[in-house]
Amino acid sequence: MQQLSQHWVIRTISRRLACAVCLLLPIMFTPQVQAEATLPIADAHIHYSHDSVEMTPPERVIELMRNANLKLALVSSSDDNGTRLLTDLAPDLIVPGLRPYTRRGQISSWYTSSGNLEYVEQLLAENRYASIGEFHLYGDTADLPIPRRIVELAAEYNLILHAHSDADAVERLLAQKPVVKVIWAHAGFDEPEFVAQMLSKHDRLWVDLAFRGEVGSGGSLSREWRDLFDAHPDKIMLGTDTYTPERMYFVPEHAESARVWLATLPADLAEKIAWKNAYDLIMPVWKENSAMTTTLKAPTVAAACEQSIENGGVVVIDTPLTVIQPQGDIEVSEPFNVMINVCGGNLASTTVALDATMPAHGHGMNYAPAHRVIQRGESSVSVKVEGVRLHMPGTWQWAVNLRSEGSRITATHVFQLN
Amino acid sequence: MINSDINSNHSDINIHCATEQHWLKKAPQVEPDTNTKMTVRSKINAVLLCIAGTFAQTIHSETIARITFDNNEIALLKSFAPWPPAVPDDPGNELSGIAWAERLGEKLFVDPGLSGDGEISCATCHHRDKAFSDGRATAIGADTHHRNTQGLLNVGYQRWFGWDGGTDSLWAASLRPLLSDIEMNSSVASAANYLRAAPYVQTTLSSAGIIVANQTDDQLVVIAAKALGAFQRTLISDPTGFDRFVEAIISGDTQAQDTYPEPARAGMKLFFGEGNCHVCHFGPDFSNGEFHDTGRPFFTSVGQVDPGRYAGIKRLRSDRYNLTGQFNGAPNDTHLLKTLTVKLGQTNFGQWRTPGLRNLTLTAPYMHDGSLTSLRQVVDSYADVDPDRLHSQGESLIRPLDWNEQDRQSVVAFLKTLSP
Repeated sequence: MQQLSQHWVIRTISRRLACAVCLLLPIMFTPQVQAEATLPIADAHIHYSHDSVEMTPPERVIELMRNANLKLALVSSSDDNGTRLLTDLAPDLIVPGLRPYTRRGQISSWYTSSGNLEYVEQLLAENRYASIGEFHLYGDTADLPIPRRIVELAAEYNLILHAHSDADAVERLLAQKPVVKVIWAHAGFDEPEFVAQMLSKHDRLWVDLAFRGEVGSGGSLSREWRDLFDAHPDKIMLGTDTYTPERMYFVPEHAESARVWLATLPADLAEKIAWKNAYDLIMPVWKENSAMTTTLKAPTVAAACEQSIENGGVVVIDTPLTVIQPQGDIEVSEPFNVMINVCGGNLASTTVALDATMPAHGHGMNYAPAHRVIQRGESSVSVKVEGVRLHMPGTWQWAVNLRSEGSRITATHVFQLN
Repeated sequence: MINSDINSNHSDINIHCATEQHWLKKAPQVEPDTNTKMTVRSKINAVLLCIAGTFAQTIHSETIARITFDNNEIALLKSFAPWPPAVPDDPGNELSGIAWAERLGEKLFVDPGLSGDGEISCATCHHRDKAFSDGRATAIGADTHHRNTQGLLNVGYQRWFGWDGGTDSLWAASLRPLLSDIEMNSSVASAANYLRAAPYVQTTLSSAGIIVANQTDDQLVVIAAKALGAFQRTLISDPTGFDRFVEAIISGDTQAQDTYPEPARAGMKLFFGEGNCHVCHFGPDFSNGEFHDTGRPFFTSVGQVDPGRYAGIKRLRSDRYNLTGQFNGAPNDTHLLKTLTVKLGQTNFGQWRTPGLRNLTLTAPYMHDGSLTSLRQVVDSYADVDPDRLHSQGESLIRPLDWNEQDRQSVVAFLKTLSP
């Protein structure tokens, strides 16, 4: 009894002390400085992969981003569906990146998988992007054939590489093509002093700070990070990295916490890191690439014809150059797609049709596959034929039909299906 | 089933040794370590190879097939003993360890009058026969919770309280559910009114020299919370087969050691060795008291997540009953430091407090959301973890384990020996 009463007396005294402590609490306990709540943020590291799509509707994702006052979000997903959903929903906010992963779990296998490369090439033929990535590459794996082809595609399609890599792999990527630019994801998880050296060494290198919890920890920046920002004020950008579906809900928290430490920087530097650096790097690329859909089709499709031939496509008509290329292996009674690229001449109104027959049997397919124009220009057209199904083994014949006003060209190509 | 087979027939172990190279490998035959009574067993013809403080591979005799432990392993095992260790005082709780407060807390614990509707007590979700958990996946109080009810045995050893560590003392953790609208759904004013009117509260506090009429609502409710904390601090589980085994190792009682099941020994090897489980599940209570992302999902529904420790730190900082506040009855003790210095960072998003591993046979289902119904599922969850869910710069300790059926059963067998 007496003991407790004494405690209460002590507590009354200590309450006065506590009041003094309370005055210090904003500094001691919650050192966060009230930041400018509306500072826009460009988030350069968002994934919206298949499992995330299942758990968070795209409308909710956009809501989270708007709540975070994002000015730009560079989104790449495994598979690409999530990116497309967001891009369609908020084209003013979302910049699509192309991740070379069709599903989760390909971090360590994609760079030796021809299927992943075909996936990238197909999507590049169908859609527009600002970047390829985020992909994972370390050391000399960056020089394997598939990563090399990815770099070629980046140069060909005017795409930024987004690499989760060590410094060695980053330098190998940069060396492969003198035009490609690289966003070094997570600043390579390297020390800021080393990151500064890399940025000094490579003009075409930028870094995102995704998942670098030590940056601005507790609301303030260490001397090392501040030195990096001062030395390379135009090369740093922010990112959340939504590597699990749940992390999408961290986007507003990430933006909020970033604003706290950004508020300790000079306003112009804070603004650059918050959004301008990402915006200035990514948006010109995106504007150019997205405009290509209407203004630069012909060269792209011509390149598609050449690429298709290189990848084993069959030339069925010389003029205009018409190449057909089944995608993937053909198996009896299993559906597959066929890409047809036609290049040269006036093709603005040309229709393209594909059929398959078995001349010896007197019949064709039991299905009418869908034809979808994925690119059209005045002198080129690319058509994807979906759902082709050859239901018997034996000798088959492709029949390609090009029809335009006053003109019709038909060509065939015989092949064996076992 | 397999466990009992192995227990009843040592030759089974030898068969496994010969066929399951991953599980048990023979080590080169060397002289036994005479400094360790464990290895004095006359039949042992091999000892462990030890690699820099980690658990090495297993030895066995072709005639005895007993899994034993080397000096490094024994040193590690000793750090899990004795049980129970002394319980620290509840931080900031001047009633901690005071008998009348413990008795009052025990009565309050089962008193539904504290709740908003007068029907829910602490014991509604904390059943004594389930080590003070409730057997449900997620709790049901005034509303449905999205977290699993944690058992309260040994709660006094914790540094932070709740799955997200949103409170820094046991008494504040006792107050939180009282005021939560999905748990007991009361308020300070309502609870204080009830306490003032409850005869046993009046009597007890009066006997202790506390005049109820002189207390503000806050003061009275905090006294009740501290009494609840004082009571829960006394909830200590009994020693287990594991404890008896470790004590037998320490004392050199080989006969007592032999009563510890062989599959559990194998599981212990994996727990402390390849699994590295002990790094987080450390010490006599098998918890390091901190928070980790173990790759478990933390959606509560489509479009909603439970942010775990990230939200917990934020809640801690805004909690007027935390140790920085006026209700800390021991503001000069060192416990305050943890609250002042805890860091909030993005790695906290989706982290959960490492639970102790004692009494697991009583506290199913498991994990923060009760999503795993059996210990086997828990072991599988770790062994088959999706590395994509763990950022490459995240918890490097957790990685897929190439554990076969026997391995997994062994780890479960070991975990079961942590229950009385």
